[in-house]
Amino acid sequence: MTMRVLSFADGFSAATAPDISGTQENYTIANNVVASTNVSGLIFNNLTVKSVFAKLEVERSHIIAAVPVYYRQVIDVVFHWDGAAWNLSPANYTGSDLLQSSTVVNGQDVVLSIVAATGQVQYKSGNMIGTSYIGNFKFSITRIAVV
Amino acid sequence: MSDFIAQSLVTGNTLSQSFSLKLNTRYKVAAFYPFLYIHGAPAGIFTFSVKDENLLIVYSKTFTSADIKTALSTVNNYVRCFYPVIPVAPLALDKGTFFFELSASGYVNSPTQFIAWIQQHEDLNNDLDYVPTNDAENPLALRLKVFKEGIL
Repeated sequence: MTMRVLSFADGFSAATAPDISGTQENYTIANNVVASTNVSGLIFNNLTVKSVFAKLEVERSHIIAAVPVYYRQVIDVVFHWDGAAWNLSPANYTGSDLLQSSTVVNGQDVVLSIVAATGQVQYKSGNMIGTSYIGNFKFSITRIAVV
Repeated sequence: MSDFIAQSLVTGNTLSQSFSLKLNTRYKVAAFYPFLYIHGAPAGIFTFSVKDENLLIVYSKTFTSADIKTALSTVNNYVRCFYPVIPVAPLALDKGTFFFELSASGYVNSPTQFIAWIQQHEDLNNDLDYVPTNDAENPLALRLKVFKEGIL
């Protein structure tokens, strides 16, 4: 079982997803993603939440010449609505320097972004050329609900 | 705005809540109402089961996300309700401890699609045999509707 905290607007049903906090959310990082691509399902609605605090683990690995190569970064990410647009502020990381601000330089790099108007989280990824590639975002997210 | 804590069903697992009937009588259960939430109307067939203290199934019923939406007459895919699980004939249960379980087949949980059982905050209908120290320890919410006989 996985514990989730659900924040509902009034009513017993909704056409859009309520905000969920407090549990781990895992998303796949595809390899060599050149254009910004949606982290499917990770989107914030500024009408119901304006601040999101996330502990993020970025993990990528592949096998080069029969040798496994792992990269893992743990980082704090704040997503916030400034009244007109969504912003993203990463800070305080440990481990591999995977998350880049805007440009993929090395094969293991990842760029995390958020669409200013819609709150849709997106990413780009470098090309890890080995075999048996695995890549994951693992978020632990707290959404500060609009009261 | 309402906040709920819920336990989501993980693929291949079950959610279980013990429930004790304490009177020396035969209960004629008209309906069970687990407080369920569907997120994104997940596919699959859900099963609500009643097991006795020997973990033998005494009753079960299947339903889908579509059934939960129909219960509220809604087309929305994010629904919470005390979902009515109604035996065809009143279910006779004697005094004892039972286990109510939620399981699924053909179901894969994800961050965008899952079914969850909402936990009860300050239950005015059922007594607890423990004192929760925080909301995460609250039981899974359930209502039991029982037929009563006698002069009204």
